[in-house]
Amino acid sequence: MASTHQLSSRSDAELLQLALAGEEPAFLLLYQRLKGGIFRYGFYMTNSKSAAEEVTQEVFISLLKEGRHYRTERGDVGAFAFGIARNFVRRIERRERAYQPLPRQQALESLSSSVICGSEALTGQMIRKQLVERVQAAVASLPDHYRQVVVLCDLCEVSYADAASRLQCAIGTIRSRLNRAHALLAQKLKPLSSPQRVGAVGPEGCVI
Amino acid sequence: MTCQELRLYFEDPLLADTEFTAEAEHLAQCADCARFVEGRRVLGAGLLGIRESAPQTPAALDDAVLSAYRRHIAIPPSPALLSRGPRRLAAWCLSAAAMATLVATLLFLHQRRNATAIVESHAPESAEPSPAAIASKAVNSSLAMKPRRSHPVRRQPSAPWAGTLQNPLPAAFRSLMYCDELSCGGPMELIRVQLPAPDSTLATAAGSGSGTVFADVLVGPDGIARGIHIVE
Repeated sequence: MASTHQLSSRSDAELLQLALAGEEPAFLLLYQRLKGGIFRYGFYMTNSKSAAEEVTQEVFISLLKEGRHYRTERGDVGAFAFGIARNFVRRIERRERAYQPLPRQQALESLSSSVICGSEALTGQMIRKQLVERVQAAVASLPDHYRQVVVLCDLCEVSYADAASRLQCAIGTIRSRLNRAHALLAQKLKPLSSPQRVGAVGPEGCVI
Repeated sequence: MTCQELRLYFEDPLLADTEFTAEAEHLAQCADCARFVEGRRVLGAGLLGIRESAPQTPAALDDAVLSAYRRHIAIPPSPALLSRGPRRLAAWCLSAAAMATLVATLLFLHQRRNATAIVESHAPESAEPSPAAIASKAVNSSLAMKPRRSHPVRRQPSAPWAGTLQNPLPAAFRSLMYCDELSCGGPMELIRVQLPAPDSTLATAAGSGSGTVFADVLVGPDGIARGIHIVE
């Protein structure tokens, strides 16, 4: 059985092969490497800690069951695990859709107006908490292909190249989706951005 | 700084809170850009807040995953998984055997057909054709007259035709094309055909009063008819 020090230099693919062969330290190391990203992805996509735990557990069980079908040339183990996680998140979303509808635009607007009206009476921490909840709701209301890139690039801090490999599209597509997603999010959050904070604003229109 | 440059600069909302000086002048004059930057600041602050609010993976999850791994390793793979490889191999063998059988059957039928054609070419000309044979050969006759791709014919060890050097066709056959040893060499098929439309001259030549005329046609290995003999 290889020691942890020896295993740390191994790639994820090698660790997966060793784990499938029964090397528990290899599995533990692979789990430590991948669990954070998968858990955060599951959490940001579902806004639920228990769902994120379920996704993470199912991903690793699936890795054990389907790991023999993994091919190195088709991507790294992280991307393979991410594909499994994405499928589980979709399954959970389908399951939960009937019970917990996503926030609608009216709900977002009422929430933002309440934040603006009552912001003076609230502490900074509460405002921040409400802002976070509102951005979470706005992210959740995005179309899936925009939500995926926001969660991966902005929240999970995955590079554009890795996001492109995991979502199986070009880097340019990631950039454009992210740009469009930011524009949509900014539009959804518009009532929150108060014009008083800008200070002295010049005439309408830009001097280019 | 132009509006476009400024928007590119603040494209990433997570960088919108960084200190800037050069952009401040532009923002003071441009309300659109000021709103854009403000919107990105709010978004960036919200995204950062989401990032920071993410919970850590609970220890219970680690234990659950580890126990699932130990269970998975302890339980031997199911027989279905084990037998997947041999089952796939058996399926391949079965399909390969089926293909081989099919090819062998086709080859056998093809060789049998060729052998029948060779035997017919040596059959006595005076034999009366059966109605079924006449029907099948009538179909063949239309093909025999056209250039067609010939089937491989078993080459005979010796030249079966005792013709002259100039014309290897038997004397009873009327030549349908120029024939010498070079152009008409090799084995030929003898096909008896019923001519599709009775010709009065041929009927007279055959001495048949009923109007049906049979002819033996010599077909070369290239599928082209070499000679014809009206059966009397």
